[in-house]
Amino acid sequence: MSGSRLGKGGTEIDRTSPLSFTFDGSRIDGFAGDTIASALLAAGRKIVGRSFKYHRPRGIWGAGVEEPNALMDITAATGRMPNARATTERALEGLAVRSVNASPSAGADRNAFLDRLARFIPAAFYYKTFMWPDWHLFEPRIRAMAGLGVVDPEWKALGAGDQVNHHCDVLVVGAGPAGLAAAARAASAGHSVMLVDDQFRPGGSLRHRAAEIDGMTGLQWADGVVSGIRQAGGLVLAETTAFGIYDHNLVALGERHGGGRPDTLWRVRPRRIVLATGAIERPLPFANNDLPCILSADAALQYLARHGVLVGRRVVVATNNGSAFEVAAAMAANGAEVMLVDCRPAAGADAPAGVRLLAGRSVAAATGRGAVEAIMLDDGTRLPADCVLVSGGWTPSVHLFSQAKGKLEWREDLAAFVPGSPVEGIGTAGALAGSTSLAQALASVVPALGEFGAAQAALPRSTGPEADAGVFGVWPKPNAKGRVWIDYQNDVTAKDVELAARENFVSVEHLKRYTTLGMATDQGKTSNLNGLALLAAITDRKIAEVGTTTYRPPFTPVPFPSFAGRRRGSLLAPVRRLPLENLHRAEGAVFQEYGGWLRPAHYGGREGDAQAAIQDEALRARQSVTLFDGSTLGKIEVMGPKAAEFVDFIYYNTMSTLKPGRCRYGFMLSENGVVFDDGILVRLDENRFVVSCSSSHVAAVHARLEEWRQDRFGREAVHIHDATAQYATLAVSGPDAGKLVEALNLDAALDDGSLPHMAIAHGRFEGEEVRIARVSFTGERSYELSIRADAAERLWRRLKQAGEAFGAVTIGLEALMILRAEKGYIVIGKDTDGATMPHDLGVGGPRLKRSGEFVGRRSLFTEEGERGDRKQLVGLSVAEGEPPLATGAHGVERQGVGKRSLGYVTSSYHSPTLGRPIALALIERGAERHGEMIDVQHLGIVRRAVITSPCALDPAGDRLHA
Amino acid sequence: MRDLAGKWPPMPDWDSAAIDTGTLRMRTLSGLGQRLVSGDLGAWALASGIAGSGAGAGEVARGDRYMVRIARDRALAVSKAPPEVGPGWHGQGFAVSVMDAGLHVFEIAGPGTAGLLARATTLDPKASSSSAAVSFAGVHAFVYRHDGPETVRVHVDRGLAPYLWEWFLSLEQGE
Repeated sequence: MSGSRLGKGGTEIDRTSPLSFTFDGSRIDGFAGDTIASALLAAGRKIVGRSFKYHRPRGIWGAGVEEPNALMDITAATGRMPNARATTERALEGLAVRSVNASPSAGADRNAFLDRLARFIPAAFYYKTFMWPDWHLFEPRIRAMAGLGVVDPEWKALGAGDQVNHHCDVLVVGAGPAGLAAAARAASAGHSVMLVDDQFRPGGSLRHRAAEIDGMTGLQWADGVVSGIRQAGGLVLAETTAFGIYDHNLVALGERHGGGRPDTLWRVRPRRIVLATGAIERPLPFANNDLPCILSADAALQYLARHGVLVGRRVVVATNNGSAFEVAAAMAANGAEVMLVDCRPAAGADAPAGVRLLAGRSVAAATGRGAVEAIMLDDGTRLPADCVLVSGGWTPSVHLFSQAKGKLEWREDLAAFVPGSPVEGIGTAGALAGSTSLAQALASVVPALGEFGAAQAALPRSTGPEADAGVFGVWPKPNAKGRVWIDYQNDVTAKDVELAARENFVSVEHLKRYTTLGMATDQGKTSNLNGLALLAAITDRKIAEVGTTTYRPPFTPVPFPSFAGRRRGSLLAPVRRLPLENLHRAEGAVFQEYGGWLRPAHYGGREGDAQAAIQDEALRARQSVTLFDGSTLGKIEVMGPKAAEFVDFIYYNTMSTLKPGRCRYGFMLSENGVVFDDGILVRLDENRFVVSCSSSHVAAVHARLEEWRQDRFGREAVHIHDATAQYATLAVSGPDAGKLVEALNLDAALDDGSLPHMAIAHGRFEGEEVRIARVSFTGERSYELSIRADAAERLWRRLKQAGEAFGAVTIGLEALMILRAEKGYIVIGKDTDGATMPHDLGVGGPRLKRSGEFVGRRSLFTEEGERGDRKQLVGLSVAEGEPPLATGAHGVERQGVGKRSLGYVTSSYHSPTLGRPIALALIERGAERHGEMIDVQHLGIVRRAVITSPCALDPAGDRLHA
Repeated sequence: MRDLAGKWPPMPDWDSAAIDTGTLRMRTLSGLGQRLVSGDLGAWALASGIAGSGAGAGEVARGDRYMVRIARDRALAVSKAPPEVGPGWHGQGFAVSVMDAGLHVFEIAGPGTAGLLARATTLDPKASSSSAAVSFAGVHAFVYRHDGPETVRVHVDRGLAPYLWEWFLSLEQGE
C-alpha cells in the first residue's frame, strides 16, 4: 500500500509535536495524536502481523476495538503490554513495538511456510491428527506455536487499580451523535448524567464524517454538547469502555489513563442506561480478502480525517451500502485514483466527484503477493489497486444489550441483528438501534431515555445532506472458489464453516467452538455475522433461525489490576490481628496465619532451629507454667428466655443442665450428623451462655446460630451476639498455673473448691472485670483469663513479670498443637473430616441417651451413621527409635493383589514429654482394634504402627488438678 | 518456617495515628461506649436513656449519645459515657453485649469523604439505608454520618482495624 501522510489535515494530530518509535526494530515517525496504527499506515507499512494458525501476512483492518490483525507487544518505560491493539494505543516517543506471532518480524516470518500446509491443518485438526503414537510428542511444539503476544514474567503493576462505585440517573454508553444528544437532553432536564466513550475524544462518527447539526459542523456541535453536559454537573469520560452489564443493570466501565497508570474500574448503578454503542463495519466475502492493504472503508476515512493519512493511491472501494460513497469521495478529493464497486443490484447514489462507479458488480477475489495488487470482479474485470476499502454492511454493537439478556431481532432491510424487545431500564439509540441516518439517530434518543426523556429543550436536528442508507446483504456463499476468510484473527475460512456443517456442528455455538470463529481477542466483532450467515446458507435456514452465540462480558479485554483493585499484597487476604501482636513481635515471635488470624507459631529459633524452639516450648510447658495468647477463641453470646432450649438444640450434648458458672465441652453437628465444631459452652446465668467455638470457625458458627434462631426459635426467644473481638483471652497452663494466677491478685476465690475444673469465676484486674475459666486444651491445670481487649496489655505484662518466678514460658501455636495431640484432643477439620460423626470420636453417649431433638440427630441413625466399619479416632505408636509418621499417611491392608486404605494419619509429632513420636489417626473400626499392628504407607514406603488409645499422656486426667 | 510478620506492618499506635490529605482527615476515636443491643429497642431506650430508631448507612447520627441501626431488632448504642444498663439478658425484652473494645472506631472527615465512600462502599450518596451494616473496603462494618454530611464514622472488628488503616493509607498514597 502506498499509505502516506498528507501535507495537511488530520484533526487529531499535532504536527508541531513529532515523535518516533520502533516497530519490529525499525524506526517509525509520527505525531502526537497518532495511534500506532495511523503512524504505521503513514509510514507505508503493509504487513503488521501474522495470522494465528497459518502465519499469513496481515495488515491493519480497522481503526478501533474491532481490529483483528494489528496486535502488538508494546514496551514502554513503564513496562510491557502484550496483545495491545495498534488501533487503540497512542503512539508515544520511544515505544518499542513488536508484532505478535511473528519471528523475527511481521514482514519476514520464519513460520510463513505453514500456510502451504493449510490443507492438513483445517479447523479442528487437533481432534483428528497428531494422535499417533502419542499426542504428547507433538503437544509441546504445537503449544509453543500457539498464542499471540508474550507475557513479561517480571511485569508489575504500577500501583493499585482504582475502583469507584457510582450512582446516577442516566448512564449513556457511546458519545457519538445519538449518545451526545441523549446525555445532553437528560442533563438539561436536571438529571444526573454520566457519558462514556471508548475513543480518545467524544464525537464518534462526527469526528470523521461530514455532518451538520443545528447549523454547526458535527465536531463543533459535539464539543459544545460536551461542555454543556459538564456545566450541568454531568460526568463525561473518554477512553472509557463499558465492558459489561451485570445483574440489576450494574455496568462495569474500564477507564484508561495511559502512562503505565492502572485503569480505573467504575461500577455504575444508573437508574436508566442508554446504549448508543454504534455499529461495526463488516468485511465483504471474496477470495483472499485477508491480504494486507484490504481494510475497512470507514477506518480509511477515520485515518484520513483524523490523522491526515491517505491509505492508498490507487484505491478500489467495494461496498454493499451507501456509507462508503463518502469514503470514496474523500479519497478522491485527497488525490487518490478511486474506483467504487457497488454490489447493490439497483444503483444507489450517483458517483461522487472524481470517482468511477461500477454498479451491480461484486468482488470475486483479490490477488497479490504480500499485499493486494488487484481485485477481480464477478464479471472477470481486473482492477489494479494498491489498497481495497471494503464495506460489507454494519453490525450494530449489541453486546451490552445482549449481556443484559436482551433479545435480538433480525432486520432484513438492515441486513443486521438489532435490539428487539426492550429490557427494563435500558434504552437503545443511534446505529445500535438501527438508525441509518443522522436524522434518525438524533430522533431515537427520546424513546431511548424513557422516563428521563422529557425536557424543555428541542431535539438537535441534522441540517446537512444525509447519505443514502440502503444496504444489500452480501454473504459468504457455500462452495465459493478460493479461500474466503471469515475470521481474520483465528484463520477461519468459509471452507472451515462448511466442514463444521458437514460434521453436523450446525448449532451456532458448536460452529464457534469447532472452528474457533469468534473466539480470538476480537471476539468475532468483524466475523460473527458473516459466519452465521454462511451457516444459514449451508443448512438452508434463515439467518434469524441460526441466531447468534451468547454474548458475555468483557466486551474488550480488561487488565487484571482493574479487578484486583487494592486487593493485592498485604491487602489481598487481610488477616485478623491479635490485641497483643506488637508485644509478641517484641518478644521475637515467628508468625504464621492460622484460620484467618496472624498468630505466633513459636518464639525465637529462626530458620533452621524452629523445630528445636517448638520442642523446647512444648517440653517446658509441662514442667512449670506456660503463657499462651488464646484471644482468637470464639465468644458468641447466646441470650434470651429460650437460650437454654436453644443450646440444647444446637449442641449434640445436653447443655441446659449446666449450672450458672459452669462449663461443658460439646460438639455442634451439621444436619447430616457430621461434627461441625467443638468447644466449651459457658453458662453465665439463667439466660446467658457464651459459645467458645474454634478460632477459625467463628463466622460460620455465628451464621448457623443466627439461622436457627430465625428459622426455629423466633426473634424474641433468643439473641446471638458475636463478642469475640471484645475480649482478649490469656491462657495460663501447667503445674504452676494456679500459683501464677494467685499471684495476680484478681480478687477472686481460686481454690479448687471455689473454682473446680470446668467452672468460671469473676475477678478484677486494675479495675477491669476478668472472667477466669478453668478449662484446658493442654491437659494441664489451666486458666483462661478473659479481659477487655484494650486492657489486655497490662494483664499480659503482669503475667510475664509474675511468671518469672515460676520460669514461665510463652508458647506459640505449634507447641500447643503438640500438647493437645499428646492428650488426644482433636482439632476440627484436622482430626475430623467431612464424614466424622461424634460416635467416631468416642462420644456416643448423647446419641444413645438424648431424647429431645437436636441438629443432626436423625442423620446419626441412618445406614451410613450405623455402619460398623466407620473410621474412628485412634492413636498410633511406632517402634522405638523410629521417626514420626507422616501426616496423611494411610493405614493399608492387602486386598487381593492390591491394597486398600483403612484410614489415615491426621496429626503426627515428636512428643518431647514422652520422648517418642505420637500420632492421631482415623482408622476403620479403630476403637475395637487397640493393640493391633497395621501397615502405614506413605509415598511408597510401608511402616508398621500399633493402634492405641488417642490419649498418650495422663489418661486419668490427673494433671488437670495437679 | 517463614515468618509472616514481615508481610503485614506492625499495628500503629492508634492514639497518634492520623492521616490528613487536605481533603480527608482520618483518625481513631477511642473511649466510646458501645453496646450491641438486640430485642425490644423501645424497652432499651427506656432503660438506658439512649433512644431513637438509629442511623442507617448514609444517615446522620448526632451528639454524644445515639443509636446506630443494624437490623430490625438490633442496634449499636454509642455514647461517651457508658450507659447504666449492664450486659446480658434483660427481662424487659432486650439483650446487651459490651463491645467498647471489640469495635474499633475510625472517624473520617472532610470534603473527600464522598470519594472515599465511593471507593469503600456501594452506597448511593443520595439515598440512605435502614441498616448501617455494610461492606466497607471488603470487610463488614457499621458506617454512618455524624453531626453532618462530611463526617463519617466506621465501626469495625478490632482485629481488622489494622487492615482498614492500611487501606486508608493506600488511598492517601494514591495507589
